[in-house]
Amino acid sequence: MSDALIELHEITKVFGTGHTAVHAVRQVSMSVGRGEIVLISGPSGSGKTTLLSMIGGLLRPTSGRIVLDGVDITAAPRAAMPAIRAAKIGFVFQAFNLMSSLTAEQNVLFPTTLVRGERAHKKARTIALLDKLGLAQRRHHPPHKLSGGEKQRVAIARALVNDPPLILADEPTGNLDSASGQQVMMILHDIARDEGRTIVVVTHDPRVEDVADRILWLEDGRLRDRKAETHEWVRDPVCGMRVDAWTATEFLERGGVRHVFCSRRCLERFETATTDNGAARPE
Amino acid sequence: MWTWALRSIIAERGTMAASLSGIAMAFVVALSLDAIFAGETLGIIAYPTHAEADVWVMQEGVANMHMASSLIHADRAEDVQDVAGVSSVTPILYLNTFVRAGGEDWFSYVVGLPPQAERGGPWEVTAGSGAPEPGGVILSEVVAHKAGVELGDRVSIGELDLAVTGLSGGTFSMANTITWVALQDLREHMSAPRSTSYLLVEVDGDADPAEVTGAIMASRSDLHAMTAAAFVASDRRMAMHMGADVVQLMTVIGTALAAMVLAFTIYAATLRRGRELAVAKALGAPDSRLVLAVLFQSVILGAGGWLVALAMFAVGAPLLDQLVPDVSLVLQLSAVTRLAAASAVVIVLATLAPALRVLRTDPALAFS
Repeated sequence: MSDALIELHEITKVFGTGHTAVHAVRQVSMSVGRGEIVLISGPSGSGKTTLLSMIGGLLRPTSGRIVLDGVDITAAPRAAMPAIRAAKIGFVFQAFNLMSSLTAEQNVLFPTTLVRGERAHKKARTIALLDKLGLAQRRHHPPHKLSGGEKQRVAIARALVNDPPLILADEPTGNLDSASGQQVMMILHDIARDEGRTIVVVTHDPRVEDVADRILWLEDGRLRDRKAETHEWVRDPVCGMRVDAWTATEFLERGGVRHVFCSRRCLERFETATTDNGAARPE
Repeated sequence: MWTWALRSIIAERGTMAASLSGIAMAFVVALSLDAIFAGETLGIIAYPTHAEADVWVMQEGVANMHMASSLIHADRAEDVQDVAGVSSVTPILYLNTFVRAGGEDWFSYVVGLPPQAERGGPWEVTAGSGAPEPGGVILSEVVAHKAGVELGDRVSIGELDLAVTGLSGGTFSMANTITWVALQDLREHMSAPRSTSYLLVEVDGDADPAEVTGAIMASRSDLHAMTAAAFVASDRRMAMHMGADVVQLMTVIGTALAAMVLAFTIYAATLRRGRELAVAKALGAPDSRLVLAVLFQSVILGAGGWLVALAMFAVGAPLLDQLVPDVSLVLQLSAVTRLAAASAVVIVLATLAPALRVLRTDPALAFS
């Protein structure tokens, strides 16, 4: 078995067909090792959640392969996916997504009912996780009596209770204040470091970059690596807007010069206004 | 999973209470109609049930008292008396007609009873005499009360002018009432001086009623004999048959109503918890388990509605009995089991739409 827990090969996801087709993810390939924390960032609508849903087996790619812990989940029968998710993936959501009628402890116990194992062992692990995450006194509280940070910690305990090798977190700090967000990220960091779990986080939150081993930038469905805190600020030659050359997806080579644009519109204007060697076209 | 399914419906107390009430009310309607019908049926067959005969003898081709008439020659009583195993014979004359009392007509089974009859008379005498004498009549106490007549007042059956000499209990239903007159008076009224309708036979202590029945029929080809149990069962079938379609229809309507209420409740709950369903799926809950969870919720509400309906009936029936004494409610075990079976149907039907919703829920919605 390879060191990579997740391998994505040329993953593409297209919603709709014909003129209305939307390419949410375009030929993304990546590999995430065991114990690694990978952050996927990018603008809204860039396909981050779609990518996360495919890694989590919630959505089938239009083409490409996803191998999770040695299992090609894109080839697995649909009926097999719930069991794979229950055993191998823990989910942490932006909106916590706790079952409103259950207590914190019952929420954490919920995924354990989906896998085999002794009830007593599951219960003991649940209590231990809640203790570890500082929720011992909140075990019997329903979600509406918990703070945002506490809810997310319950959600993390729920994600960990079946001992999955992979945790997928969608904007885990998105609904939290600064202190709670920081706490949640440190918990995820510790989980990766101490327990060797792989964590893939989709977020806009720049604070999360501090704990990431690798940062991937997704824009218009395409993925690229970006080192944390690495920026190369340049000016869009058309509108003059400041653009990060690392994350920009619209660029053009003219006359041996790499021009970076804030948008497709500026790129097209530039193309119209200049010749192939970069000189301005005559009026 | 089951804890989640159970708590999901319990958490919405108002919705659950409304749903349980709606389901229970639908069941109560079906249950009450059945009970009213059962009560009326018992009222209709009250006379053969309480006549204390071991064997009933009647005209060949007749097998009922309800909606039937039988005429046999009075001498047949002596013939039957001679059959081995027969201890005694009480002839009665019987007519479906109206009794006019208090200015109103009351449909009644009028029974003509001979003097010193050993059986066939009123089984519960609430006032006056229990043996009708010439010129006298024993009325149902309910008729007397409704008609405003008392002992000594005059009532009439056609041309017969009679004095109320006794009142009986347990002889009134919405379909009929039972009235006793002297055999001689009824024969005159019917212009049938040598006729009887039924012979109420008591068999010897060691005789088998079924064997005596066979012996009577063997002795006279113009007579039909039935054991009391068979005769009562035959009368009950006839009475039930006449209203069975209505009861079945109402049971179906009640069941359909309950199914709709239950289905709406579960479906609405499924819609409200669409996101939680998606989360459950994302966490690894298979469709089959989630459909079972919805079925479990339906079972809780359906069975709960059924139990609440029984409780409502148990409380309401005595109250109704006091408020409307004319209506007798009889809850039969068969009605309870039939309704339980209907509840099972309701539960399954009500699960279909929510189950479809569960199957269509996209787990990726958990990320939305």
